[in-house]
Amino acid sequence: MQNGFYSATGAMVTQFNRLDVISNNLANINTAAFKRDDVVIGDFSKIFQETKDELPIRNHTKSAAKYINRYIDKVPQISYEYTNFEKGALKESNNPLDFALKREDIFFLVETPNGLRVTQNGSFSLNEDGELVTKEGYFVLPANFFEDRNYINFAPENEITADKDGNLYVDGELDATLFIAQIIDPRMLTKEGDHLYKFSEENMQALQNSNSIEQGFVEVSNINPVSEMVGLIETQRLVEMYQKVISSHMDDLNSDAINKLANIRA
Amino acid sequence: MIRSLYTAATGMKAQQLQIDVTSNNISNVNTIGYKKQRAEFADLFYQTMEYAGTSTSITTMSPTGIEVGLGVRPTAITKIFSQGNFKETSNSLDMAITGKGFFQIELPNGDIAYTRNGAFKLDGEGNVVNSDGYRLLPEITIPEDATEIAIGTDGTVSILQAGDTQMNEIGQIEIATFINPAGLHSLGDNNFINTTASGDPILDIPGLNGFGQLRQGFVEMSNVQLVEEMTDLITGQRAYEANSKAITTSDEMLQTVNQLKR
Repeated sequence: MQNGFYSATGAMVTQFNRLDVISNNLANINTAAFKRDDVVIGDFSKIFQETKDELPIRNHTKSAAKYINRYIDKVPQISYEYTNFEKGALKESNNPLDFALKREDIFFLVETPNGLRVTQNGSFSLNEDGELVTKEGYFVLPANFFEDRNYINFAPENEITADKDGNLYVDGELDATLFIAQIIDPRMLTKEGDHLYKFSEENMQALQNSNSIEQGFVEVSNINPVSEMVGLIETQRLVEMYQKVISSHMDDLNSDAINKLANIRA
Repeated sequence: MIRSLYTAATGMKAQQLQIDVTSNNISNVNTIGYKKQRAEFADLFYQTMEYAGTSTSITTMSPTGIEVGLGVRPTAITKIFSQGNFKETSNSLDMAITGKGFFQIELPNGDIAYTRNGAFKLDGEGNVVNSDGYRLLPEITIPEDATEIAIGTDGTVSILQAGDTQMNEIGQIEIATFINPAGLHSLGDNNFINTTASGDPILDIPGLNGFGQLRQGFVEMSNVQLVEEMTDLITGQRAYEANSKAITTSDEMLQTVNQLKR
């Protein structure tokens, strides 16, 4: 059929996928420490360059692929989805167990049933045994976790103060230190939900003296509604344009070809 | 797509920053020693479609070019170090600097911070400290039996001890100035530290060589003028609205384009 039709369809599907990402960003405007996602839209020839060795095409040549997909060369696809780790604003909460991180590349380390994860959401609380946990119940790990294997423990009546390096004091005495994980390449993190990121061992190192922890503050999301709205406007207008292209192919050109060319006059 | 969509978006983000700075100034209008900030913007850059002076024929050239601007960006948020108003407190350890200079404070990690906040107190051992307990440098210790403390305009600290009829000088306060005070890094808590942009601190006795004098019993309030800040809020909000109008206009024009084809 007409390949221009498929190009427009592919482009429209890409815009719908982009709309999914924008809607997720807007839905999370009030989520603590949420980092916005964005997409990079590339065309097929760019993606082919990166993956041509894996394609099951004889000789792995571009002309072989082009022969099969002659005009799909330029159909846009989402080639890369990335997370923007810019810092959001800090909101004062006056809760001594709320911590905010002031640097982009540091995280708290938590233990979940699925393994160790990192998070930037510092709204912690004490569980029924007095251990420091996140709001979902995952244990927040101390700086010496890999040596001692103990969790951070407080009595309910303790007044906890913290300094800028993540040291926790009870009545002026040092009780525990939060594990501050520095991620070397934030692009290698994957979002898992519940404010958690999955990381790989070589990407994480412990950081002492970070001087970037604020007690009593919560970090809000870094979503700028102006950018998301402009993205929504763009997506909607692009989908409208592609719809015009598609209907031109099908309703106008094809219908003319069928009706007028093959018209048999009695 | 249409350039104006993205240009107006940069305009809205810039006005958001302006309102952020203004609201910070307003929230600190009663903070002792606060210096107001001002956001400055510059145009982003231009796409040149035709350079000025391109020749239009063998003998003539175009007098202007065609350059389309692409929006606005923030270039600086400067701290304005003008003098704030004085408030009389009659507290013997409150000091205000009339003119240039900063008090030196020792942070817990040993670094020196600088501040205009002159509301000092005594700690349990008689050292002169600020509200967070950080010591004033050079260190001054007031003995237990001092009944009066006098601080001269040149920073000399004298006390009257019980049983004496004359005041004894026990210390000298030195203040610091910088070549570029706007280059200081704000730590929060009314404190600044020096950076390569601000230059190294120059220490001297208050009153000499253009340094400001000290006034005991006064504190320097913020230099925020509420009238200016209210005006900035109004202009910021209206500029935000105007930019949003540009975005909706671009949207409607795109809609018109799409409706060209039935």
